[in-house]
Amino acid sequence: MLGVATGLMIGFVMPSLSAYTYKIQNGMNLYNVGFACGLMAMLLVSLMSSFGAEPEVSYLWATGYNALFGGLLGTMCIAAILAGLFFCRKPVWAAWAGYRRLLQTSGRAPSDYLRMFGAAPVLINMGVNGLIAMGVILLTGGDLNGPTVGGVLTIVGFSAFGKHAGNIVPIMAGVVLGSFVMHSSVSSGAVQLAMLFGTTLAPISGYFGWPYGVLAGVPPLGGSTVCGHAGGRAEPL
Amino acid sequence: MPHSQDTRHMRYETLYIMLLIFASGLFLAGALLDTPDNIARGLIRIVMTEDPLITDYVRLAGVGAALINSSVVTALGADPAQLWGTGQRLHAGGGRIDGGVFPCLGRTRSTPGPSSWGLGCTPRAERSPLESMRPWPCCPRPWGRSSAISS
Repeated sequence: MLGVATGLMIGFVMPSLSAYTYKIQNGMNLYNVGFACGLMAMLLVSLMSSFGAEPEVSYLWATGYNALFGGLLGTMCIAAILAGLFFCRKPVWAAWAGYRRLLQTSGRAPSDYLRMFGAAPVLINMGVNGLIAMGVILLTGGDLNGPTVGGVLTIVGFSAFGKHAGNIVPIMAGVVLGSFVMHSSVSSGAVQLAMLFGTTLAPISGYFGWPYGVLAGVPPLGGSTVCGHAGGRAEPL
Repeated sequence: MPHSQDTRHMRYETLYIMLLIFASGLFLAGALLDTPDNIARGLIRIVMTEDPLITDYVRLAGVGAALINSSVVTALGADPAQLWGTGQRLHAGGGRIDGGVFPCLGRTRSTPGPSSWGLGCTPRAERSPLESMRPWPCCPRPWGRSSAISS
């Protein structure tokens, strides 16, 4: 009952709060509502813990599903690319040209690719980004499981709203570089998640250029390795 | 930038059907990957657990239950758009598909409910069609015009 009431209250506050957080970050963070939720969570969790209801920290991490999820995701991404190229009632060259144009954008929010370029380039973008994200996870020795598949699919989803190969790769590279400097291994869960969810900062590399994207990739890692283990993770970043 | 009637049609109708197909695909995959007994037990576990961020349902409940949970949440997430009839919630394909993704990660049928109801209750008069892109309710234009954003 209390939970439902709290949920309703959050739902009332969230639209106006996310309108405000949008002004704070000026379109440079794609997960605007995530950012708003993060702010809200900071407030509510500290309030809850001051009443003695410490949220339980659970850190479950499944391993050994790489082949299964890799197969499913890979099929989905390749199907998306093929659908974009051949089944959108557009000639292949037009779809590809659209995708090339899509790669030129900064991705700064709001950039609704579906509206700007139509379905074919967006589908190609979704497939390519999904394959990149999954490939990076597998190459760095990570695991495909609930959280990471969620992260990959989030990138696939946001491929229709600001992420493309050109602006997510620098962020991921920044996270990988950062993991060499900070004391956390590339294949640890927190780094994997930072790599996937850090791509919310894609507009930074799109707007200011890739070196700044690499630079922007480092702090989410610090944020998520510390907060990740503390339970409430870096969606605000 | 003008958008054709075709795109609009696709966004509001085809996309909805696509989401349902995606959800049924997830359901099918889930059903094939585990025994019904395990799935039922897993689903109950998912609903009953206190789920902070990074709760791996694959570990907690098994692949089958996790996939079926995500398919149910995807279908539920797609539904309001159709109910409201405006299709606004399907605005960016990403926004909605993303809604169905998180279930893998830690949102259950029980958790998103109350917050989404609240979202539905906020005064709709405040929203003009462009402003009602849900993730960025205040943005002045769907693209370009950076001066308008920064002012």
